[in-house]
Amino acid sequence: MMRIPRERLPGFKHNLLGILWELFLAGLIIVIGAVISLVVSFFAK
Amino acid sequence: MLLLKSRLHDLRIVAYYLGKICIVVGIAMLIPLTLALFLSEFSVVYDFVIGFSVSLIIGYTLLFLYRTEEDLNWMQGMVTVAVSWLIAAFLGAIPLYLSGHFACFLDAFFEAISGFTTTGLSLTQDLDHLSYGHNLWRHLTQFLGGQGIVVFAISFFFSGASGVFRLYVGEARDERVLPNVINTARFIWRVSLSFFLLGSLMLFAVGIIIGLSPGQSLFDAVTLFMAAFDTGGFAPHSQSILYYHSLPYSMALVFLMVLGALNFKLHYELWHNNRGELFRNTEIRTFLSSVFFLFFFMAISLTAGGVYSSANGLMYAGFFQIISAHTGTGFQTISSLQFPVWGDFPLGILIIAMGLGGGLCSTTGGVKMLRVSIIAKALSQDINRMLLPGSTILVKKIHHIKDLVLNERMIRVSLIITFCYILMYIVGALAGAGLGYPLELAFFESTSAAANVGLSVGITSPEMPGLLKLIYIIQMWTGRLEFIAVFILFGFLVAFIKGK
Repeated sequence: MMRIPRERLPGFKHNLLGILWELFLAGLIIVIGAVISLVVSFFAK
Repeated sequence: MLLLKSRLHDLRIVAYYLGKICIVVGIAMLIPLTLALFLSEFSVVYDFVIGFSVSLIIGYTLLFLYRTEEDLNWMQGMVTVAVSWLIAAFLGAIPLYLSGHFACFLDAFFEAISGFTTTGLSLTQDLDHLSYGHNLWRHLTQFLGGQGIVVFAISFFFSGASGVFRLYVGEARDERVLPNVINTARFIWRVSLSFFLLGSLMLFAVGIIIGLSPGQSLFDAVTLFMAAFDTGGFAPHSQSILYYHSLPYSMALVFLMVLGALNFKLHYELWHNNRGELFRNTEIRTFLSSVFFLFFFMAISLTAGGVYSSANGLMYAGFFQIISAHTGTGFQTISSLQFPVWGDFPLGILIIAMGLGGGLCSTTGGVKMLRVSIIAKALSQDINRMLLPGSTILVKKIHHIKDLVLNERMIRVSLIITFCYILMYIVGALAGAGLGYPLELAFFESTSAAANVGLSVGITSPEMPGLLKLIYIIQMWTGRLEFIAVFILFGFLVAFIKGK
């Protein structure tokens, strides 16, 4: 008989690591915005 | 030839499941009702008691009259979903209308559907004096609608059946995170509630730092989290995020808007420690590239036009608005009347950002990143095919959780949905222009409604024509459900009237 793997929701440790990676991505986007703002405003002066 | 065949029996099954949705909406009203009781807002309590009672009476009447053990088929599932959102908005509008902050019931219905579809366009009058209970309800509609009203119902009130999967798909969720749709729905809520704790705490802390009182900071943190993570865009103050005049507060909201725009399947992968997906996923790459180029050109245009010259101004206004538009949130750090001052080019960039949207299977609206990347890949495949010898076999892949070979069906589906969105943006714009608004502003507002964003150049107001309110309502509803369920509903009704 074929064995169907059991669905598992991630545990607390993995949740936390996942959240940290997602915050890293959001932070990266903010850094991109900040760098563009600084560069453009610098050349605008 | 009409393929759909509808019978009275189908209506009975749809009515039974709609009854369940009514009860779910009614139960959700207990949350603002409890807050109103806690804060001694007794007139508000009555409003929610009435809303709760009407929801339960309608819900249990439908359940009692049309009790069935039969599972939903595809057509019934799609029709149930399409009507569910209208019924939820109708019931959700009752306490809002009773608040006295809306000129008519249509305005309250507009507000409720704007909430449930996570759009964020608002017709509330004198928002700054709206009670805490009603304000919480506005934001709660976004929190429920963001995850999906039916997903909410599935998570807590439905037992396992294949019809549940049809409801889930009808609510514009193309992808299952887990093979079992009930577990998928529960995972979606697990992510949302985890971020609810974290995000509210972060906003509360930043609120205290920028000088808000603890009570206001807590209320604003909870409501703004719901609006930010679910990319809704309602705010507890009429000035939206401009009210806070704070770069740190707006950047904290950027964090939450970006998290809300991520595909729930990506959340799942990252929560399973598959961090490589963060760097390889085509949606993430497309989103990063899009934000980079759109903001780069917008920043140049804003500085060249003399609108902003400092990095601080570009971040606070320009960058924030790009993220707010791209994630489909609709928060504003400038007033609606300032947008036209920016000029046509920045407005055009915001329209593109709104139209593109965020991740598939997220809380955002619009075309969405996966479809954009599929169309871009297909385009590059066609160009390569023209340049290479005819005998060359060209295989293009995209990486979304796993490597996927680009096929005709994926391209066709992406193109059809994209075409429908663009058509809807244009039709809404022409309607706005026909009713006397400048075409570019009407295009902005139409895209904002259809892509469930909520940015406004000032057209959306209680004074706008009733016809335009109706058009925006249809746009918000259709855009949120990504057309299919709405098309099937209309086909069902036509077939029913024709007696097929």
